[in-house]
Amino acid sequence: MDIDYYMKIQNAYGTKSKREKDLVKVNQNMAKHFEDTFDTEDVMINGSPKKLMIIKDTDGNVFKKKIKSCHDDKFNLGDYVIWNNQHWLIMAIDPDGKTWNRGYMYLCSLPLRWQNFEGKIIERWAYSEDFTKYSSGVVGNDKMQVGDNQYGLTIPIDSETVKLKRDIRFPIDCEGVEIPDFYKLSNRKSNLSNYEYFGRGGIMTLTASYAEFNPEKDKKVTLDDGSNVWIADYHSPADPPTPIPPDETTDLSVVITGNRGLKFGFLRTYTVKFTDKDGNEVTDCDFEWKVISDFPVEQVENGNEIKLKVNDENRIDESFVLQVIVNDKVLSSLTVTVISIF
Amino acid sequence: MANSSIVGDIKTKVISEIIQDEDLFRAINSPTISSFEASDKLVNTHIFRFDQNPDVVEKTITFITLQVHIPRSYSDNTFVKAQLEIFIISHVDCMKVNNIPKIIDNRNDYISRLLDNKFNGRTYLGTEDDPNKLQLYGSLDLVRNTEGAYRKYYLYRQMVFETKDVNDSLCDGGKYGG
Repeated sequence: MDIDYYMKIQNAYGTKSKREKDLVKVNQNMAKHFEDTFDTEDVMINGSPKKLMIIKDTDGNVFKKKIKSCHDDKFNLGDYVIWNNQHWLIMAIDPDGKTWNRGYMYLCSLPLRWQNFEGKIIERWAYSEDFTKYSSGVVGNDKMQVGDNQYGLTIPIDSETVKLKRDIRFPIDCEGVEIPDFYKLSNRKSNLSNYEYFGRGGIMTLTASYAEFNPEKDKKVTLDDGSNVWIADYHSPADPPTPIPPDETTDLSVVITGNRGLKFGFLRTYTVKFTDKDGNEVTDCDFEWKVISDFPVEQVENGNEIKLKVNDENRIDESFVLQVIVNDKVLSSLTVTVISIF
Repeated sequence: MANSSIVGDIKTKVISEIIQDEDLFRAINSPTISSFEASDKLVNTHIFRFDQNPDVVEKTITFITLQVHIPRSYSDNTFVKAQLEIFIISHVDCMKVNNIPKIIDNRNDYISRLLDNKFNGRTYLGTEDDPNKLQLYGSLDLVRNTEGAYRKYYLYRQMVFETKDVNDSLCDGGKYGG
């Protein structure tokens, strides 16, 4: 008889000892009877439907649940569990997964929103704790006082949250409030529960400290789902340079790239790129740079690059136009504004 | 007049002049008072006639406090010295003057420049159309203009002007009075 076939019918395939065989058998029985208890619930884990045994915490902490899943249904630190229309965050796991998977999940109470470098609005549900238990809520001196409050916020470690740095600000308040309280990230503890090196996820705890509302920078924006939310330090996603449509006579598309704000006293490089109607880069185009300005702009040309500089600080907030000319026709232009170095 | 009457008089005239100055109004850049016609609302929200902002600051703002001190008399007690002390305090996020074109000074420096231009060397206080201008004995001179950090995230500039007033003890029921 084929030994592999024999091991399969004995539920021992892939095992090396009787102990391992017994373990497989135990796990199979667990999976078979996993739904026999009232505690087993249908949940979504990171967007995928799963079965999870949700057991009340023995200490009576209703915001904390012990969770178990079948051996083959692993969950990781930082996974989100949607259960009962609630957002729960897995904040503890037993890394020993011989039998079933065990851990704890905590009830999240606030969606933390911020804007990443590219301008995209990121949202992560956070488990929050009071990190200022004995403060009166204000701090200062005889002359002025400001708010004093700190939240501890636990969120998953992922590609967006790892980019969070101190001083980034968040609105943290009830949804729909006219002007929410804002908080500044003052600390991030990313390696207290980080199991990513063995593939079991991770969570980080942020300290968010009260910061003043900035009417010029903090904006209410509309998300894709139509909801209006506050975003701290909101900036419009960078406008990509708009290529002028290919000219019928040249079939060239021309794009000038470079900073639209030129700090006075500093050389900045601007580059032009030519592409044909098929999108292929054209490298041998005969063109000329042209600067249209009411004030002196220092220019150093080097092929497809031009370096520009304005030395007169009185020109701050004034603009000039940089053009690319081919056969006496303007094929691309960029308006550059002189800005302060501060 | 009583020596201490100059305390209130200076504060009243200086504040009155500040809130009628559109450049200063723009420089203070209130997040809640956008119309110059409502510049009187700066008083007790952004301009205080004592050394304290009594409200918990919940927005990034610039505010000004005014104090008048009479530290000592001089000239054989003929005159008293009166000091006008102005603190300009800004949240660090307000330091860039991005609401007024072409200003590269930081906000505290810019406001102090405007106040210097407005008050330094003046021999009276009160606007041109003020029938009750406060005539000074001598001029109001800037004697100190320093800066520093007020507390975390707040920067200040401190300006001290000096002028003099006749010592009250020379008049009325004072030492030489009748």
